[in-house]
Amino acid sequence: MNEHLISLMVFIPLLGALCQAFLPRMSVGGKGPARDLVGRWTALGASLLASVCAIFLVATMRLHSEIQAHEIFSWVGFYAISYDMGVDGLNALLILLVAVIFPVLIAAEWDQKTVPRGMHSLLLVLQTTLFGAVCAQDIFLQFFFFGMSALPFYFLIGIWGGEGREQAAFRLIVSSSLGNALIFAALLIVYHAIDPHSFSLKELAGGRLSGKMFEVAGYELSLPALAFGLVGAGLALRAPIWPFHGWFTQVAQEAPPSVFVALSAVTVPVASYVFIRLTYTLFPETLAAVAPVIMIVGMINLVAGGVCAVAQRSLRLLLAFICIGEVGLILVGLGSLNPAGVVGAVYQHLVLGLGLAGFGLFSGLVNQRVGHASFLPEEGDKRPLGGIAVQAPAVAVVAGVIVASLLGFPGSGGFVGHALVILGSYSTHPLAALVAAAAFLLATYYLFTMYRCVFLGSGGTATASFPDLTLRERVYLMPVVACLLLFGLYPKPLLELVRPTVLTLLSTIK
Amino acid sequence: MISTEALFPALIACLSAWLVTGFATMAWGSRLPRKGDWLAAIPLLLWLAFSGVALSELSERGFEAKSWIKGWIGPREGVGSIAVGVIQDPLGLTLGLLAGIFVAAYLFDRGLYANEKSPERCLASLSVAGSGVGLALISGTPWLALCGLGLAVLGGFLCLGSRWESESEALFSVRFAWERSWGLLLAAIGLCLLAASRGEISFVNAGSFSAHAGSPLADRLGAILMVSGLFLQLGSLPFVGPGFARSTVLMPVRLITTQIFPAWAALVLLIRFHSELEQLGIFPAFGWVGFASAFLGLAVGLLQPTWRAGLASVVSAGFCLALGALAFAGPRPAVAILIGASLGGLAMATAGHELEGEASRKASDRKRALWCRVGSGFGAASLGGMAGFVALTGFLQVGIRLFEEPPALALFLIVLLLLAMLAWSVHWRILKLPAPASQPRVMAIALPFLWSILGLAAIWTGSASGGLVPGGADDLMRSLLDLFFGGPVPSQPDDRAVLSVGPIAGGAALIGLFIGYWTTGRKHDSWEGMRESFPRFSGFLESGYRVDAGVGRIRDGVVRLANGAEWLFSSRLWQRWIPNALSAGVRRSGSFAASADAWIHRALSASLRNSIDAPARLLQAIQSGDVRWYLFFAIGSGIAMLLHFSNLGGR
Repeated sequence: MNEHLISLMVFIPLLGALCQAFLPRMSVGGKGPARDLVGRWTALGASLLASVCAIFLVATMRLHSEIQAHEIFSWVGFYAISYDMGVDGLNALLILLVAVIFPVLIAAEWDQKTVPRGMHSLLLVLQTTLFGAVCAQDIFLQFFFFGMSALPFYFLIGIWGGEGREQAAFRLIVSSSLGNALIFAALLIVYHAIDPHSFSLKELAGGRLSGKMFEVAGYELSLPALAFGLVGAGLALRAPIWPFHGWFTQVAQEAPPSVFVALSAVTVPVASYVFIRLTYTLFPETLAAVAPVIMIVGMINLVAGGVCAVAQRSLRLLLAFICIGEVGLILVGLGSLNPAGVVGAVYQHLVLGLGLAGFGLFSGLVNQRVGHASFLPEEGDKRPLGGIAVQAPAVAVVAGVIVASLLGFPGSGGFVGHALVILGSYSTHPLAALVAAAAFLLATYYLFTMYRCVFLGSGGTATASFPDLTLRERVYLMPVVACLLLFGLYPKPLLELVRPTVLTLLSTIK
Repeated sequence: MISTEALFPALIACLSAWLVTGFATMAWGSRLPRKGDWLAAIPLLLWLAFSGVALSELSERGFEAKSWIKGWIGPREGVGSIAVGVIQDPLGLTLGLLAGIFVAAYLFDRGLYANEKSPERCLASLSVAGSGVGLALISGTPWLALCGLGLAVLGGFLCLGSRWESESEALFSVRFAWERSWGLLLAAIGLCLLAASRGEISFVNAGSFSAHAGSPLADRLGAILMVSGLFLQLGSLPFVGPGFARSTVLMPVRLITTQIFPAWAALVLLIRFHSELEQLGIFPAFGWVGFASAFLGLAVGLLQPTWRAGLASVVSAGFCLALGALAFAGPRPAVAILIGASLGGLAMATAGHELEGEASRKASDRKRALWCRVGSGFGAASLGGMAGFVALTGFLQVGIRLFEEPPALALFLIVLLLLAMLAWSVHWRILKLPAPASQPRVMAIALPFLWSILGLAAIWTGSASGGLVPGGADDLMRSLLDLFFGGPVPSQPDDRAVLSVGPIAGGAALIGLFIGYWTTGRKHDSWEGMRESFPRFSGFLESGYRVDAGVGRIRDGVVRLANGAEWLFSSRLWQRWIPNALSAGVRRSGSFAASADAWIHRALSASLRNSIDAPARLLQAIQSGDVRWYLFFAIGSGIAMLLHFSNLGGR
């Protein structure tokens, strides 16, 4: 039944993007969003159709650790590269995340005035690449999709970004390219390490690379360790790992809100997923050896992200540092090598993505209405925002749910991920759990401070008239908020989906 | 009759509906008739009805608790399981019923909101906090109790934020929210640490809780974090400053949503988890912390300029005392003190709020105001532990338990004296308020009396005096506290201890009354005099030991650290130093390559020139006739012949 569902899910957005170039330009009602409705609806329809496929795919999954809805055929046969796609517990939640976020982003950019077709097309291409990267079971194919995802971002930021867009786009593409190059080098090493050469995750799994060595200038080096290092370094450049995050904060300032949402809420969890998939499958022994290092990196990220977030005055930069900190929490969970910790980290991909998406969209709304996203004044300046709760109560409620989830309040989506990561990490590394606790306390402070400055108190200079959510905004924010609440109150089905795969992966490490 | 199985979902459904209507009142209350109080009233009445039914059903079963537990996060049977569930026991249902009555009383008291700009916010906060505390009280696992606590805190935040157009009120509400959220997160993290090494944690299988199932350090740390987090919900000093006590929001509603309900949710969780925490051995320390915090809070309260801030301090101190009682003497006295402090505080808050306002000159107004003042007096008696009120039972039981530990007993009695002193000081301040311009409402007069009657020891312990008479000679009815905790106190105190502690505790309450009158009740307020005489010291106490200033400095330090880190890594390292170093490297290697290329080019040109130069000169010489070409042929042929013959010779 699900035979070609993955391919449909991956390529329908691409088809939608291609259609954008050939569809007739129909103007209905003259200026503004009424223009070019065909293009807009095609983009949204393609994205939604792919999302429906994705949700159906995940909903019909069975609770075991095997790859499901498997599709495989030879792509470049001479080099053993195959089109190998499938879903299991590790990627199912990310499929859901991409499925929920991208239609929302297209709806959020509905009123885009500058070449809307271009932006929607690039968002659809991005959706294809991210679906592909998540579902690929061949490491070359995964690299192909994941590497390609940097390109739409370059154009999206370079064309639709703020004043410093060129530099931000340049820095993004340089970082991404460097990261991709390192990952590709690791893939080549892995490819040549076994005979017959293969890129298939299935064939490379099971510790086939264990113990392989190679000689450089008379020194013997461990091949899995080198490949692991390259993959780790490459992904550290693609996901904002502190202190390699400079490009990320610059992009946060310059990118359009929806594009930064796609970057922080989807691409970052996908990068983290690629790390799990590659390291847990290909280098289990090396992973076991360096797990404490991963946890230390996670702790550094948690603290650095939290401390830097305290000093931020802009919603966009705050979002960037929340993302940096939360990536640290995911790393802590991954490094715990404990079922609860890893399941928590995988679950955190989903709820963090939704939380960051909600926060990013909310900051976009503020930016759209008042022309900036600063919530704290510089010294001596007047208060830029404030009192929005009175004028736009729906915005305040939506932001409240998102903040609660990012903080991990009981009953919200964030609680499940946070609780599981702490449960898992404490038994192996108590310090990590305590650092995480300190970071949560810090987050409570800065998020509540932000909430007060934006929503409560007397009105700011820019919020004299702040309209509440329009119908379109309510419609596209509702899935995000509903998912955050639903996944917090009833996480059981998703956790049961993830757990068998995680247990299987961990059993190879043990 | 509804079966037990049907009651659990019914109770949960009532609470869910209550919560939803709370949010609905918040969103649309301003557009609804009567500001939407009827909307929240429907599920509230259902909650009251179902709680009553559940209690009667429980009584038919001989008050045997029943529970319904389900897995929530992770497999229920494994290590680290997180489960949720409901427990049907007398403690939860009785307190739940009482919480419902609190909310109903202030939900239907429309006159209370006459001067409120947005009363729907207060009504919504009551509903949200009420549903939260209801959930916490009937929860069968600490995880669900934390969810309930979170909702109770949210209700408090909404209440304090009901005037969030004002900058200071917004600050109070957010301050409250993040302080209590700290507590909530700490408690959740502590619970995670406890759950990390053992199976399902619930209030039902307390016997199966094995202390130190993991490492003893982990268990102790988890327990400490959890109790600390819940301790923060009591509004305890020095962790939580007296900031929000200065809020001008309707005092009774504020007291319920920001102090009473979060404290109930937290303390009931601790009471249900008492035996497990006792096994982990952290309670004596928290008993001292509770007493010390109450002492510090009371010292702050005495110097507060308004009765509102004083009342907030004394109620918080009462809750801290309840924590100390729980740690030293068990759940029974803790519940007694909790109920006494809540009801007494609420009676005083209702009366005091009604008496605030401009003075009236009419005699009839003054007469009604007098009843308000009497109600406030009863509230102070309940809060201060006068004979006949339930709080005294708690104080006595703690005193008897601490009889063999003189240092703890001494601290407890000092705190008791201060508590009574502050309660009565606040009462005298309320008495000094002028009669209001409008007549006090009937509800405002009736409610303090209702709360005071509910605070009588006879209702909760069956004893008319509250346990002052040894041997239970004054017992009027069956003790509710015995019902809560499955029978009478296991080891009955000896009469010697009762006779020793009884007069001391009762005396402390009486002395507190007199000192309260001496310092505040007379024409000259001694505390005001102290503020004038020792402004710096008084300011230090009044500000809550300058905790806020310290926190502000820490915050500034963190901001400086963050800015420094960002400057170093983002502005310098990645934006300047690394790009500069890379571009310098590229430039230098480029110029090196260029100069090498020029050198190679020159060298190649020179060698090419040299290699061409010699044959060219020769050809030129031949062409010019200086060298005859046939000579070359002759020499060449000669060499060839010599080589040929030399090869033949060799063969």
